[in-house]
Amino acid sequence: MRSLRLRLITFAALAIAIALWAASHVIGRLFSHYTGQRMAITLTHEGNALIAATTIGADGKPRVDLSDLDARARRRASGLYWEMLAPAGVARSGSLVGKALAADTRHRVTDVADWRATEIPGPYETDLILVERHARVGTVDVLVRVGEDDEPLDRARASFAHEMGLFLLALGVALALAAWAQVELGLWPLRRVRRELARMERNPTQRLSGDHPSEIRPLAKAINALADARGDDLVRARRRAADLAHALKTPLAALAAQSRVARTAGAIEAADAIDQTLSAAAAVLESELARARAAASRIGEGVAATRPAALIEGLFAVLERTERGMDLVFDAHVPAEWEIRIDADSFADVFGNLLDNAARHARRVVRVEAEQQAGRLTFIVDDDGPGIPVDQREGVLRRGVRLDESGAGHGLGLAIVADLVEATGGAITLGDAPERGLRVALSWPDTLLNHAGSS
Amino acid sequence: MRALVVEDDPDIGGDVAHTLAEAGLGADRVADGNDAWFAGDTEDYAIVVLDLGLPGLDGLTVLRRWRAAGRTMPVLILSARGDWTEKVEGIEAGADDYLAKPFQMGELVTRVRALLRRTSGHAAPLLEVGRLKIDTTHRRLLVRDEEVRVSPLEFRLIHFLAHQADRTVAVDEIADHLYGAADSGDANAIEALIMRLRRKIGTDSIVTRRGFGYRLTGGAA
Repeated sequence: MRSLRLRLITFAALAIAIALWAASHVIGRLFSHYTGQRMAITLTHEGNALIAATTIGADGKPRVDLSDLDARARRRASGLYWEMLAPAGVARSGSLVGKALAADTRHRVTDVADWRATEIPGPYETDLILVERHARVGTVDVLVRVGEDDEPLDRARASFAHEMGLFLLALGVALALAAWAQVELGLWPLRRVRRELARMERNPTQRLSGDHPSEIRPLAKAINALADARGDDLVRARRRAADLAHALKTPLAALAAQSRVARTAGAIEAADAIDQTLSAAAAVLESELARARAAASRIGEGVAATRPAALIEGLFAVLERTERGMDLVFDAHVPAEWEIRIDADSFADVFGNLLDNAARHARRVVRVEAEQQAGRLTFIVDDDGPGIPVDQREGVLRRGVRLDESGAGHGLGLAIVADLVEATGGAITLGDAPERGLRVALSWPDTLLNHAGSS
Repeated sequence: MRALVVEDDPDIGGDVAHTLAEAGLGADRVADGNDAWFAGDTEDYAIVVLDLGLPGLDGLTVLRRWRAAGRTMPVLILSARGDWTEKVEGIEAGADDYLAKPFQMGELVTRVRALLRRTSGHAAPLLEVGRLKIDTTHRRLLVRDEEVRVSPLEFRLIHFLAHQADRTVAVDEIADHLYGAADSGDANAIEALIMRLRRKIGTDSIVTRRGFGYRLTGGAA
């Protein structure tokens, strides 16, 4: 049985059924016992009355004055019977019509004071509850026996059993429902863990909350510890990638120095070839680093919010100092109060590459505009350069565009941007800027926006 | 004119110093952040080439300390990390240009020359227009004596307008000055440029005369 719920509910149902079955059995027995005893007590009263009404005749036989006794005993086979046995003779109730009460006993019923109570086969097929005792009447010892049909008792027992059965069934259903509710309630924290895990999956910086029940808390703790370890691995991997880049870039720079030496020595062609290879290697390194960063990028809750307006102005300040950016106007219209839950490095990589690309092709102006519309945050980056022909747009966004195809064009930069945008849960499309040039539209769900005042 | 080369890799540092020497700049070399901070703080260098990953004290901190102490020499940052966050941090810390490794020496020389050109020349008096002060020696703009960061293009525009502060300058004339040749598409660019500049120095600093052009008033002092 793989389901914990099924396992718990089945076990509870089984336990409830056994308990109720045992209860019905025991209660039935107790009911039988006490009703039997009750009847025996009533019979002893009749027995005592019988002893009081008995005298011994001169012949030594008992004589009974019927006037104070239960009239039922006079009617034939009425269900109430008695007999009084003396050594010299026997007196019997009229209901027996001369028959004797059986001597054997089926089983004992609890004794009442001096009376022995038993169950015996009756004279007319049904069983009797019988009480008997020895008594002294005058100078004679007699055995007094009074019996009554137990059929009404059986009927009462059957009716009791029936009603109790119904009640116990209802009780069983109620208990089963309670068990089910308990299982559901007990499993509720696990469901919460599952929800929180799903959130963790979307955003690796999330952790399980600490307010779980004490039974779940060790599990939540272990999961958090695992996530922390994984997060540390990720940070280490990023750091290693950065270290690797550093380690590779320095020898590349040294190689560039060698190329310069070669050039000075007159090996112009060799130096050109080395330089070309160096640029290619540097570009590959840069793009793979950006992709590594993109793969590890984080969005959503728990990520420090990025202010796109400030970040884009910062990027402008960088680009305005580059040779190609020096003569360009960088213009941004992004709401200053916006805060977006995309981590700043990824966001800077997206817009840095995008604006760098725009600056490379723009003639005079690079413009960024942002708006919130239809559940999306849309950023539009326009340049007034030559643009990209419609049939090539799909291609430049594709991952892994070859360097030699993209060296001078839009290619590599935009392919990296597309990867980064996708990694942060956004979308990218290329179009035409209003007058001339390329328009790149980026959008993210506006649920990533921190609302003004909530920060 | 001397340059300071701060680089912990001896090959690259030596090569940069050698290249600058060939370009006519004597270069001092240091390989440690603390030494760099001291050298830049006590000597007058025409330019600094600063690596960011340094032992002792990291390059950005060195740069921030220089700027906080009022050292205005142009600084070109070299770094192995090419990501944009670091570039933005570098510029915001007060760098004038940024070169990611690996770089070509030719590119470095071009950038160094451009930075020197911007800041060389004889000390010129401050141009004052309204509340603006234009420091052409260090290419800085002050609004009520507070420095406002402007792009090189913005600086060129305001510098040009400041020299024509007594008159309205036509858009074509501005385009001609900034781009060397006027083009029908330039009006948009210049309008955007003026708008940005107004946001930095105050709307009333540049007056628009519809159909004529723009005049720099510097706003109320």
